[in-house]
Amino acid sequence: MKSNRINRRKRSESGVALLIAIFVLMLISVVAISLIVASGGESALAGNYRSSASVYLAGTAGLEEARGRMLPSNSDYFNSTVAGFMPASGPLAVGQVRYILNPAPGEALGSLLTTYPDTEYATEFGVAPVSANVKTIASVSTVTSGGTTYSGPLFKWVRINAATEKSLKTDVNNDAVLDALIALYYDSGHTPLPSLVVTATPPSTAKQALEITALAVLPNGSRKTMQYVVAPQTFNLSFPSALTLSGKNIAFSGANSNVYYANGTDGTGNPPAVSGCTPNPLTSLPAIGVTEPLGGNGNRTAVAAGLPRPDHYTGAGLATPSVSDTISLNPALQTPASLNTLVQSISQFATVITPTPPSGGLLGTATNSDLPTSSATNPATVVVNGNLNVSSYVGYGLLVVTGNFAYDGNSGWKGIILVVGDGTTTFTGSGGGNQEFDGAIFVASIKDTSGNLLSQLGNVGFDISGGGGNGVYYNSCWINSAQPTLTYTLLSFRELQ
Amino acid sequence: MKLAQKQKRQTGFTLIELMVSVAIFIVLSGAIFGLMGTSQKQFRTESQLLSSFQEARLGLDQIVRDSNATGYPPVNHFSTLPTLSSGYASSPVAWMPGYLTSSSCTIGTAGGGTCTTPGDFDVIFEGDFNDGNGVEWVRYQLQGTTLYRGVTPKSATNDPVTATNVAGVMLPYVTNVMNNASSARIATFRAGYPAMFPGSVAQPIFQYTCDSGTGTVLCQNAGASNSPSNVRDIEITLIVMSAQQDAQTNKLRLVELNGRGHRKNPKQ
Repeated sequence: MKSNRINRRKRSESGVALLIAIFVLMLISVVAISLIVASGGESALAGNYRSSASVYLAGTAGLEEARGRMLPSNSDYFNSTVAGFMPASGPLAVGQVRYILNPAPGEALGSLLTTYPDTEYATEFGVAPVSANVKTIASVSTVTSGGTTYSGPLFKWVRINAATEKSLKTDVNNDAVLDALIALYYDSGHTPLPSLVVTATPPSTAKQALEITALAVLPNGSRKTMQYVVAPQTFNLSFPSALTLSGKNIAFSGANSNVYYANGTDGTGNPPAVSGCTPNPLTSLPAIGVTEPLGGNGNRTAVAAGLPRPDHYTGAGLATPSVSDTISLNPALQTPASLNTLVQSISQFATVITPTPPSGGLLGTATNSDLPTSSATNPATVVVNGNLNVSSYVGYGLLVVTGNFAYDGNSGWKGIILVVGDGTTTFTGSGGGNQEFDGAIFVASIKDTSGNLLSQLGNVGFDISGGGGNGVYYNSCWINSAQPTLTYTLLSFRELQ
Repeated sequence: MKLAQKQKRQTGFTLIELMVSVAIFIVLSGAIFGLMGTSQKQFRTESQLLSSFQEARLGLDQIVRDSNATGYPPVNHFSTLPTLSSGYASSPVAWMPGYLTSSSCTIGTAGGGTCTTPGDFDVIFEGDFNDGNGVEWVRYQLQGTTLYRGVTPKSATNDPVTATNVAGVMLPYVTNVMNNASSARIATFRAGYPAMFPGSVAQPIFQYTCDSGTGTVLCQNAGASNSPSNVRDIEITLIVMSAQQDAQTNKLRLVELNGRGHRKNPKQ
């Protein structure tokens, strides 16, 4: 009997345990559900804001990658990765389309434009891009370092193409027509203000305006399309004459050669064509321009007196010799300080800085072998920190010489030559030669013999009495083409969707 | 056999066991319902708070996006300007007085400056925010404790304030915005939130930086560059109050949201 009572008690106690367990579970459940509901609200709140900000920043990152990689000075320059991705010179034709593709992990590069089609292009141009006109390149935003891959921003693609009135839905010239075929240019010389221009023959001061469009898509489906319009920015150097000499006293010995000419009329001589700048504008400047910091007309008189063949110097409608001392210099060319700043700035974008300074602090001398190979489609920016002595050398681009510039008649340059330093130029050969300078040459003295910056421009020496080749010819197309792109200026920004 | 059945029937709960069980049940039930009641109150408060802040956050996000995209299409997109000024954005931020005569004003704070707009609680963005559908004025203005938003096409003849003051343009956008609360109320707020309302004065919703020769500085410090057309960044501060008091503390709750709009379109 006793054993039966114990058994009964045990059975009843197990029932109480069940009840208690159920109550405790209920309690825990209520608390847990409350927590889940509350935290769910906070997650949704944080998520909405995060998506909106993230997709905007992802799109901006794509736009900036494209803007940066168009610069030749960028280590990820497009054409360094894929040859001919962007035109080395001249415009990107309307209809030509370039894409940066940025697949997320697990997405295929080749099918990215199928997964995320560019419907915006058809909206802007009325038709989808022709596949033969499309080039693609991979984004550099995802990097691998130390065996770890760091995924970049979540943009899918970035498109680069020529901008037109129709694509921007903007009547640039207010003629009530949205032109679909003429590429827009940004003319820094436009009056009253720099602006986009619509013309089949853009002025030499104009650079092509490009459209950059990016699509960003987040894993949660948030998407945004945004667009830049950009144009290349250069030093905007301009020159008042084919050969400009700026200094206190100018010693000038002109060429004896019968084939040597200096002409301030734009595009004269035998210059190679500049893509997108044909024909040259009908500009005519003096063949030689000089400044008169000491007043009077001493420099103009000295130069004119140093010309063995005065009738070979033409331009600006002046009587020969075409030498003017009423020129207006670009602000960057006016003082030793501004010229020094300009040289420092150019050095930052130089293709080559040469030569290696010799010991003792003296100026070194660079020769042909120190200069890079350049061509009409691949101009170079060269800074010679010292003297330059070339023979039978033809270069293209922007050349800075901080010492004496010596050349022979078979040497020429297409673009800009700045001889700033001690401001001397010497012809080293004898006889004529068959090369010429197309663009502009500027000579000034900004430093003393110890290399200290002068407070005012010093004396200038220009001696080509031994010959001089075929001469100097002003060419605004080459002046503009020679200047390196510093950046792509943002002309406008808009969010599309 | 009968004895065995009888024994089984007798294996139920004793009275003491039942009483103990019921007592535990009552105690636990009381605790659970008490907790549930508190949780419900707290949840309701938190939901309303989140809803207010969500609304404010979305509002802030829209202001930031509008200020990012303002100023399109800029004057540099036209070699010949459209006949009517409504065809382009002449300034990223419209202003009064003097807009129609292109006479600029200076931006100040706490009543300083000569601009009535842009100001601490009022700004009008100018641009094509709708992809080629025309230049618009988008205005944000605090009226009392409600931030209003209005969108209207840019007019070549009306000034931006008159155009946006037309009935039906300005609509309530974010409620319970406390930036321009009374001094007494600010003092109350600071008791619970000492970091808010520095100096115990109204907190501007909009603060502007201007492009100047020495970089980007607060417009009121920009000297000759203090002009609505030079506005580059807009710091946005929204202080929003919950609609109801906190269930536990019986106090109103505040949150401060901050954002920054950065104009990308170039100066006109």
